[in-house]
Amino acid sequence: MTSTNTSQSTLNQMEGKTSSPAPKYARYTITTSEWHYLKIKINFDPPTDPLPTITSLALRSLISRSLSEAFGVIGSGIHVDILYWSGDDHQSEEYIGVIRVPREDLTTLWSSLTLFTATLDVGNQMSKEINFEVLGNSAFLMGLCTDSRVWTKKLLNP
Amino acid sequence: MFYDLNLPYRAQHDLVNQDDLRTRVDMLIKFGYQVVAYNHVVTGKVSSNETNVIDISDKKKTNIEQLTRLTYILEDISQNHGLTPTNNALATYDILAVRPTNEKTFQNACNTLEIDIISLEMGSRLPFYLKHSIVGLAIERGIFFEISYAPAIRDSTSRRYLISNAQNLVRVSRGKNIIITSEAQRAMELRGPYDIVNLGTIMGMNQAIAKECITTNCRSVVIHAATRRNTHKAVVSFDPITSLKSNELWKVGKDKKSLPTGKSKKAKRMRPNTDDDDEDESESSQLQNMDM
Repeated sequence: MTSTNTSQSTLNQMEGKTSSPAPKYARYTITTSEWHYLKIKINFDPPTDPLPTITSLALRSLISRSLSEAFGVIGSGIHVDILYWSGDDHQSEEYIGVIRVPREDLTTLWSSLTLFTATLDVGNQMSKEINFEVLGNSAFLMGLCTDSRVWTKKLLNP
Repeated sequence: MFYDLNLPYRAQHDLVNQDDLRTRVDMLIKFGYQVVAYNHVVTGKVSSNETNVIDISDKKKTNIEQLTRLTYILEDISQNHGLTPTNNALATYDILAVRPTNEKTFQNACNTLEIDIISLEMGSRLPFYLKHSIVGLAIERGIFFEISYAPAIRDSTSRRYLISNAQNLVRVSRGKNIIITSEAQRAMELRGPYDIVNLGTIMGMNQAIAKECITTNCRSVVIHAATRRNTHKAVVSFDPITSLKSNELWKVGKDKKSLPTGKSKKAKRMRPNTDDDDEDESESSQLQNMDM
């Protein structure tokens, strides 16, 4: 052997292989997401009928009230989008919705929802107390589909 | 495992403005908590004949672990002589907590009292300052400080004080040895575990520490309480012979047929201090390591 300078393609030829193209890579980067999504639900006490109707407009004012009660003027300036609210669809029995908030304001909004409690009139001089329950949160809207604990429980006890 | 170590318990006749215990426990189960402690609050002198007023027997069917807790509201250090390891009556409760109301009782609680939790009245201005030195002593002894979140939900003035007192406590204790509990009198005041973690973030802890406050730290409290009750100076614990399973009876040189009926018997192996005053003579004793 006199030649000491062999390249990969030459080696391949010597071994009878055809030259293979260099593998291609694709790179996906996930950085801190701009938005954060929360799935929320309104609970009533007592949970019996009649339940008050809460439209998405009423929801916006409730969220705004919770922010200003907990965090004042600066809090009420937080940008919140309501992406879905079941109260706009008259057949739904539960009030569940999806809201979106900028990532940096997540803790502020979430803690103001946690601390919020209010009483709503239902007519007939009855009133019900409400609170917010956060069913899930994710940086991706898709992440709100299900909750792994709930899903596992359903899987194990069908 | 999520813990809620403060669910106020009142005897059946005193249910004004408080939900049924069962309703609140159902709500906790729904949120995913695994352990709850029913809290009985007492003021006045620590007596030596406390009986456990909390009745768990009819709640056996729930799938949540239930513990009992006693909280003493301390007003005067002369009343606290009962809070020592020799007071066997207090052992009927799983967890022991105190709520000091002035600086002297707070100092006493952090220094000398044999307790698991120091609970502070967070909904109003604290009557004493929290100092690094005193709080540090309690932390070294393995005592935990409790922050209850339901007063913030009930009342908006309490909310301000709670956030400010909680931030102060987190600063002074550097985030260590804190547990977050509910103290919820109604089911609507309860919140899910991750909501509580988020509230902890507002109080000055980061997410990991806040989550520990409802998981690992609470577990430490329960274990600390068990150590305090069941062991002697955290080294030796006694079990009666009747608690042995039949395949363990070789440990006392007996077989199934000849189980002793409560006679005292010297263990065959070496054991420390035989001159303990609080050793119960009617139980047979057996050296056992702390098995937690």
